[in-house]
Amino acid sequence: MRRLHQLRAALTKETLALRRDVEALLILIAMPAVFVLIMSLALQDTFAHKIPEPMRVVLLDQTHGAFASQFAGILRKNASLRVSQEAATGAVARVRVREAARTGRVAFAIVVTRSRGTQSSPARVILYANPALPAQVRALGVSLVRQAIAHLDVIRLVSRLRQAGLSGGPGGWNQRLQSSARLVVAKGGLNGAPTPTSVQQNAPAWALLAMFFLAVPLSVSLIKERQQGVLLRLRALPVPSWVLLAGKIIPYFVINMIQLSVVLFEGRYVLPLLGGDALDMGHAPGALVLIAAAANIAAIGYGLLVATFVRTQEQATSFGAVSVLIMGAIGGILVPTMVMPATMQRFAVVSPMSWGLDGFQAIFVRGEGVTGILPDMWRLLVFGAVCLLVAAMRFRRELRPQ
Amino acid sequence: MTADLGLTSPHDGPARVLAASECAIDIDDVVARYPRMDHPSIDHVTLKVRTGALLGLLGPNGAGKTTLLSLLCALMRPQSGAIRVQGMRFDDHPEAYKDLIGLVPQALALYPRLTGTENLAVFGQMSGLSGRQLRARMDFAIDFAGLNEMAQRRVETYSGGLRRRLNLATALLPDPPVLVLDEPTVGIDPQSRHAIHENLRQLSVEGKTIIYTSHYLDEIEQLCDDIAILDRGRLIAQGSLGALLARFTGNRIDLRLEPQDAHRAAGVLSGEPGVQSVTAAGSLVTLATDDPHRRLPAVLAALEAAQLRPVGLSVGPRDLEQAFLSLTGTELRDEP
Ligand SMILES: Nc1ncnc2c1ncn2[C@@H]1O[C@H](COP(=O)(O)OP(=O)(O)O)[C@@H](O)[C@H]1O
Ligand SMILES: [Mg+2]
Repeated sequence: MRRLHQLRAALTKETLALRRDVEALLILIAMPAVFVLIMSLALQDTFAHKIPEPMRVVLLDQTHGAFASQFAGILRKNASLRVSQEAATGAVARVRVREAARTGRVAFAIVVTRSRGTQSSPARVILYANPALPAQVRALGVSLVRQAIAHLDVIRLVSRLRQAGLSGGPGGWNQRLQSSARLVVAKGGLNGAPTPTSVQQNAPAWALLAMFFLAVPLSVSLIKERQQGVLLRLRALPVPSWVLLAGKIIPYFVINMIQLSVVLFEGRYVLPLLGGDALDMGHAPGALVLIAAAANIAAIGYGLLVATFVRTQEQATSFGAVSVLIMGAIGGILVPTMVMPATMQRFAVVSPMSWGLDGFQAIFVRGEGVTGILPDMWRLLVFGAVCLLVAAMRFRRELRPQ
Repeated sequence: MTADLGLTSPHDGPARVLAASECAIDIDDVVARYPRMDHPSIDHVTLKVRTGALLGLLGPNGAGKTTLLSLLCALMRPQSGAIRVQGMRFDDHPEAYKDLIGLVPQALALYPRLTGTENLAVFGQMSGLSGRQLRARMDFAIDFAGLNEMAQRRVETYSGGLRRRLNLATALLPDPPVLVLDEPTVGIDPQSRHAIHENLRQLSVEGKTIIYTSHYLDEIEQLCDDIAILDRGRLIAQGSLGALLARFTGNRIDLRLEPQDAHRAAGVLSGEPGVQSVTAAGSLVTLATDDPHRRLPAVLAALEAAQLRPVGLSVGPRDLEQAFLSLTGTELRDEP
């Protein structure tokens, strides 16, 4: 009974203090809402499903052979493509055109090389697609390239038949007909995964960042209690540390849930009014609640961990904010993972925010249910639990007689 | 080192005759040290406080007053020694032990964004109160602090005096038998200080055991019947106000010598005619004498003969302020 009253007191003081701290509430709830609005609209076209007309293509020829020039000629004739040729050759040029596709300066980069370095071997056509392109557009690009190769094969076949007929020599039909080029679609270019719309990326991304940003006001609130001497008074009272911790966890958990709901509501109903796409949230509300709760626990765990380590408000704001921004940058929050180079993409999985984002997008973009989010959910829960455990131990030690 | 000279007197005065039931606070040979500090902040302190006493704990800044209260409130662990409140040790019954003591911290321990009433409700519930009992105690506290219509305003809008009074009232919510106040009147107007003193006298009359720390001597003199003086972590004097005045004031010769000479000087002077008692503490030797001015030449001559040279000298009747200064060699500074 006593614990219950104490818990109520802990909740009351935290809630009242929060309600009266307008700046903190603005940071926690309004900031992500504004960000989602701006970023979703600003990046609308980057994530757009409509096909840009004409699509820009950069071509790098490393063979200087007949095939490549004919291939380029066919692509140039296609009205839906605008082909430019990379003048330089070599490895650097190849990196450059690949980057052009990855960052979206062109829709596709095409590199023509030799398979085995010999003049007689068939060419290899490597296609890099801008990962932000919708799957249909990428498929279109692949089929255009495939058509061009097939077209050249047919021409070659016809000319060979004609040669065989004219000379009357044997063997024309006996020769194995080898295609003049082999198409390689670079990884990440067309693995068939549907890509998120602008709001499907931005809404969960900024909501997650704001959740973790909670580390700042959470630690500031604890530091203020230390500075105001309130913690000293509480230490002198018969209150266990878990009551005080619960008094912090629960209100901030609720705030995070409100914040997320605001952002999702905004994406679904407000954004379309401003000309953006409505947020498609998939068909698994249960999974959505689970992944949101797991991300929330991870965020609060991290916040409390920071709170028990920092000693001043300056440390809380600088360390809290910077660490969260770094986590966000790595985790594909500030910049979507799909436009990162492969090495960075591998790095992203160390950020808890990337687990959260992946979980949300599993539901929103890939249309998955509870089973689809389980790996992300578990990772978030384990991370949150470890943080909470360490924070609780440290807090308990702080409250105990020194 | 001072104990044998009778300057610390843990078994002196009322403490000597205390039965266990009468002893509200029993601090027994406690040593406490902060991490990474060479010197203990509390150095073999023994202090017994009888039930219902209003004890003034006096000492300059840094003497260890807050540390001693922290030990008492189980915010800090002693390195050695034992502390009992109403016969109970913290380690045996942590929760019940904490219920016995109300702490009024030196810093204002209130939520500034919350109103007076909300602060009282929060800390009341944290102390384990609820329902009708909580409301009754809150009414008492609002009345006690003189909050009146300010009760519904945020604490950040309160004057310094009102905050202090609320700080005190908050500690009284669970009605603890022992009340511990750490410099509760620092930085407030005389009216508020007066009001707090009146409140404390009333509480004392009602039977609460109170420890009141201050570095203002006059405040302690006005308020408290019993005084303990703390300096550099050591209890250098303890007793009733009257006894301390009798011992450390009056017709005195204070001699300050090199510390290594003080004991020898005390020995030399103890046989001097007209000298009733000699005490040495640190570098200070104090002679109680019938007529300080008449006896001074002979005293100085005796020192000269023993090749002892005083480096400081004061003669004549003293008040407790001077006594404190000569005991501790420290001014009671005003600023914390
Ligand atoms: N947290 C602390 N860490 C280290 N030393 C401390 C700490 N608090 C106080 N002290 C030292 O302990 C001594 C007693 O301090 P304190 O009890 O605060 O004195 P008072 O309350 O009488 O002014 C001082 O020398 C002070 O420097
Ligand atoms: Mg102090």
